[in-house]
Amino acid sequence: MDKGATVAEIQSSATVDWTPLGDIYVKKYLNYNLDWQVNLAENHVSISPYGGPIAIFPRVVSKKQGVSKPVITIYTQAGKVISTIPWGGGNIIGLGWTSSEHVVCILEDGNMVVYNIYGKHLYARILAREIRDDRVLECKFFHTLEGSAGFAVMTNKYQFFLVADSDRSKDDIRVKKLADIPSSTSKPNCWAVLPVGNQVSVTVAIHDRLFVLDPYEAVLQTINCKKGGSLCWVELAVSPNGKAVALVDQDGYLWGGSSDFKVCETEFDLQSRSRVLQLQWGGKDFFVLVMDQLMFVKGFDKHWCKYHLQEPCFLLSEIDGVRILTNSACEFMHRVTSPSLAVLRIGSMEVGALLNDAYKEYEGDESHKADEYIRFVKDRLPEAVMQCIKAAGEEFQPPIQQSLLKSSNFGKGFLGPDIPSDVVNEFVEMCHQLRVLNSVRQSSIGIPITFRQYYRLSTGVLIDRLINRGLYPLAMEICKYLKIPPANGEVKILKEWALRKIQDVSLSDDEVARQIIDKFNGSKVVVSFAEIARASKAGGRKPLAAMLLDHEVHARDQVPMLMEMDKVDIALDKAVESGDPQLMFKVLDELKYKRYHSQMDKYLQLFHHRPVAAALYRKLCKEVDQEQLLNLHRQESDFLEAGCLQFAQSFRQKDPEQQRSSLEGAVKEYKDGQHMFHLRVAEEQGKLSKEQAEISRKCGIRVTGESLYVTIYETTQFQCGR
Amino acid sequence: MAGTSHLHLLGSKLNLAHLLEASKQDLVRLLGNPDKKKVIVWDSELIAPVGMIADVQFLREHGVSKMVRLPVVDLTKAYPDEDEYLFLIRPQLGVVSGVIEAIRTSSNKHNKKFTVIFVPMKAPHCITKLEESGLYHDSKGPIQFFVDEFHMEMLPMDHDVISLGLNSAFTDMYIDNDPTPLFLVAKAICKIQALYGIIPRVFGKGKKAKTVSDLMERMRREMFSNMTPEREVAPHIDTIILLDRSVDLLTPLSTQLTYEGLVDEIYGIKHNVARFPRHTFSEEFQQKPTKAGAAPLSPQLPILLTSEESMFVEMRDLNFASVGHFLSKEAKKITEAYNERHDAKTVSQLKQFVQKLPHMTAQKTSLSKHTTIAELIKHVTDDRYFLEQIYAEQQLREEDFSDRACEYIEKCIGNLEPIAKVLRLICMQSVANSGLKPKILEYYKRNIVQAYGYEHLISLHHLETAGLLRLQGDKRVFPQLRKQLKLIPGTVDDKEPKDISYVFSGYAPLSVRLVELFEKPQGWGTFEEVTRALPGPPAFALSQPVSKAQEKRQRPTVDRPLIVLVFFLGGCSYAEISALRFRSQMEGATTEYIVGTTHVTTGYSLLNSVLTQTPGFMASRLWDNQLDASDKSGNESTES
Repeated sequence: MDKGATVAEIQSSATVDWTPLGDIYVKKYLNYNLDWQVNLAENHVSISPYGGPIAIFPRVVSKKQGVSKPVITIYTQAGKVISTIPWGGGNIIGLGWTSSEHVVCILEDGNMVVYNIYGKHLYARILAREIRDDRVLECKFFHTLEGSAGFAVMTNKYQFFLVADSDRSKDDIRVKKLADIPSSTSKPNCWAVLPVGNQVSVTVAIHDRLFVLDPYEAVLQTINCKKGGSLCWVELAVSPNGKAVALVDQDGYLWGGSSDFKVCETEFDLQSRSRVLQLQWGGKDFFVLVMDQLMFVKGFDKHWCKYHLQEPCFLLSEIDGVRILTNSACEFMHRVTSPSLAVLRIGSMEVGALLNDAYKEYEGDESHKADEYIRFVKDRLPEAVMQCIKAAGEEFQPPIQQSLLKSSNFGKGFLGPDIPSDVVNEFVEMCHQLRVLNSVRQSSIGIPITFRQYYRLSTGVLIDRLINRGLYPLAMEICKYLKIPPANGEVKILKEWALRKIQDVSLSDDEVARQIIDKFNGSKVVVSFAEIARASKAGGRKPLAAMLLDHEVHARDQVPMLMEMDKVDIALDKAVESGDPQLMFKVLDELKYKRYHSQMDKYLQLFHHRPVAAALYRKLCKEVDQEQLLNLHRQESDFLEAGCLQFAQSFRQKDPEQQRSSLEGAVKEYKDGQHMFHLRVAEEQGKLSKEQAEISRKCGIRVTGESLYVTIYETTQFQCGR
Repeated sequence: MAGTSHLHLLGSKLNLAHLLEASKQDLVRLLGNPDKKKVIVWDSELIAPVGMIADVQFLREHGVSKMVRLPVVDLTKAYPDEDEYLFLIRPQLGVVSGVIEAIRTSSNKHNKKFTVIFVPMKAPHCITKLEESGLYHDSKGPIQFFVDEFHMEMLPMDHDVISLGLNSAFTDMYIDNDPTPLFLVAKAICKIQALYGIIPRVFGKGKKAKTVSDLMERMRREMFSNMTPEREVAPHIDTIILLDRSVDLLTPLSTQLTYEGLVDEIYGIKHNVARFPRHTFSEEFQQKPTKAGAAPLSPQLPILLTSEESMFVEMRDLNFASVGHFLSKEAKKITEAYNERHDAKTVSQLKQFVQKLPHMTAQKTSLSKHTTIAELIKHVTDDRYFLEQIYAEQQLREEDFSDRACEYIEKCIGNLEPIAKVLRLICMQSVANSGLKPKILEYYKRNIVQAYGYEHLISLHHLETAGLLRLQGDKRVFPQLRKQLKLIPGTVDDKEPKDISYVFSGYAPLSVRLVELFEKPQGWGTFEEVTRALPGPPAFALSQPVSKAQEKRQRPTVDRPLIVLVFFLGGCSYAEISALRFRSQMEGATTEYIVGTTHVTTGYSLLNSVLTQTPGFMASRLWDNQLDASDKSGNESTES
């Protein structure tokens, strides 16, 4: 803020561009001067709402260019080129934006082609066979209040098709055919999409008749209008909330009212038969018409105002106003809202205005006057402070914002310790939000979003849009500043940054990997390397994927992908490192049944030098597959374990034959391993059980299964008894 | 089922009830919609531990209308009105078969939901078995079948004890080398850190301890990295000491001589409950207020042993020799308190007396209960059979038995005394002498297999794998440690102990002696030096980054003691817990210990867990002859 300027001086500029329109004021504000050398008259123009990007495509491809193909150019609203898309496809009928700011081109042949903001081709698809057969005649895009975006097309047979959500993936795009207009073969004069919630429909005007089309029926509407004589509607516009429509007929008769045409809010004779070129709503409060060299603004009552146009212009309706784009400027016209009116309107006696005046006096060293004003508003001071805070939010110019915040802060000072917490919160919140808004509005970024639009869009979506435009550092700063949880902020930004980085084919794999690893490891948050690796792999950069995957901390993400990439050994090692038995088993199981199904030897070799994996496998085998366990011991030349396993088995078996063979197996293993004590014990067990059988048979006493001592004892007892 | 009042978890500097709360939340998630009627099908082993988290009332509030144990058949016929069937089971194949049987035999599987919940986590082979069972479909189409996990990794047993309840942890870790228990420990510690803050200092000794600390480091990176500093909890625990059981195998093999330790040795304590022969108790314990026609009382009386009971708190850690004295003192106190009624002259004095009555009645019940238990134990400990064993244990710990067999052990073998007892003593001799000479080892082994059966070759093999039995190496560490750490301090006063050695009447548990080192300045240095000779890689120390300035705290004081979590990998005994408590409660103590363990063990249960892997081995109680005959049949009965 300029040190010399007083609040009074600064604020005096706040109201200069207010124009009264009956009960309301409208304000036209110049966001950016453009030096982009674009003539709107010669181009298709599409602006994405909420301060979004602009797509420009020549209406007529000049033959003079000859060699060079026509291009779709994408600009910020400040006129800075974001990207260019060389166009070699068919005839573009419509150009528009999805809710996540992808460019959609609708071609005459019924194709829908989608690019991202950098001009990367995402996909192309035929909308529907009927559309392809009949060709597209017109196309209109729309955005709903809920944040989704779509479009409707009209074919040469005057049939309408609707895509309610154009942000879905290629195969999820649903094209709905709307009901045919009954008994009509003439071309509709004008039409528009009514974006009301989930029930998006299309309003069509044919001469004097109005229809609303949905997938099931076409309903003829009766319009509540007093004009006598013949009607022939030529322009039709729907307000952003879908609740109101404006119509113009060929005689310059303007009708504004509810979208079911039953309630008429305003009727007006423009007294001009010159063609209405554009008709758009400014929020839900007024409408703007563009005629030859004239822009005509009209509210709901009889008041109006007009602006002369030196150059072609393009209008886009926003939720709280209208974006006006000309060859040289990007402007925004909106209704002055009640907090601004209360505080800044000349002669306002609202408490906010008085508080503002108090501060002006205080700053001008007239503290006794300031005191008087404060005394005046004393009882309603919280309200006054709130008004000033809210008024600050409406302003585009930082000095005015600051001056209003100073006034509110001044008022806050008088509230003492009992200051309501919502006032404090509102103040802090507003300071935060204005800082964010001012940073995205600067012309290098070029998102002239208003406070209301930002509020409706939400911080999350704004950050998504910054990410989408590759404005990673700014997005990062905002997230840190607003303390957004890493999952929705920092992590997401780093991830998207990396996903874009891996598409950069001008850099070598090593270079990309180095950059990503440095960035990720240098940050305090943990970003999934596995996700980036997966994308690299899908994008055909397998070596890069491997390099990135190596840095993944979460084994549960890392290991399955290593398996996919055929890095079996590393996968097993990483699973072992993680200590997670479930993960280890998953790898072992997959290897066993998918890879080494018929090569058990090879499978068992995996356990060489992997004692932990081997132990886990042994443990599992112990429960489910003793045979396999024996194989494993043999593979490892662990004679002792192999012997003990069989020795133990011999005691579990009921059948004497099996017992003997297990025992023999054990003896063999012990012998091979030179375990002499075990060998002797196993041999003795063989002899003992033979003897026991013999004793049992001869003497009729049961000694089977008893120990040597007990057997001897029982036998001697028996003999003594005899 | 144990009550779910959590009073016993309070009282230490760390509120362990938070741990229960976390598990409770997980259970609520699993139970889902309380409006849906559900049946819980229990794996019997889980009733008690889950019961420590949620009581019947709590389950009912979340829609559980019926409870039944495995095995069961045709669930849907038995409980036709319920919509959901939840199986709470351990990840064991046998149990999974029971679940499969229960679902397979159910007649009306459609419109019903079956959920198998593994506690504490799924095991791959169980999942495979479920998948192979073909339960996901039947002839009429797919069945609503789900598999989930209840992450009940740990249970706070008392205000200063956390157990993972992994009763087979010792054999899993030291015989099978199974990585699962270590993973669960690391996860549990991570959970503790999530609740009580990152523990700034980590010390440990032993190979398994190193593995756990590596896993902890890994999980910390995974879990805490995306946490904003504001959400991070300030550290409540200052130090964790990870002790690999293999560092000190002598202590768990020794017979505990504290009150709680002896209850565990003789009767076994499971989830804070021990079972005693009912008829030995006085009238008031005979009748429970059950409705008429209820099942006859079990011959075993379950008794809850936690710090909720003030008398038990005072006596649990006492050497048993002083328990009699303690009880008579208590009896006197209660009588005196009752006699005060004669002195109560005024109404207000009378009122004061009446206010004390409930407490006095509770004290009286406690006294009667513990007197009976003490009598039961005394019956065992006065026996020659017991005294001889204790004497032999003392001898083995104190004298050099490196080149001779122990006469008492030979005698036991000759008498064919329970093999668990004999092997326990042989293992003690091996551990206390840092291994046995080949001649003696073979002599013992030969005698064991010939007296108890050749199958015990497997037992011996397992004991050797676990390191409980081994050949003597070059260095004899134990005798050196015995001197260095004053493991046998000589004079012990069991009644007014000055040193932890009272818990074994003259032997200070090595594990706790090692922990004690940290109380002194240069504790870590000494610890490192002393443990160098012990098995496994060198001791390690590391510090975990703590974002807040808490790291630099003042010297611990009596009021603000240092909180140290001692984590035993492979089990610890009640005597060790008592010894650590003794350190916390000593006059002027500036360290408060919290005990973490895979499970609570005794020498007897340790040996049994090894022996059950031997074919044909049936576990039996060591002091069987001392116990009521009706006990054996009563093993199956439990109440819910």
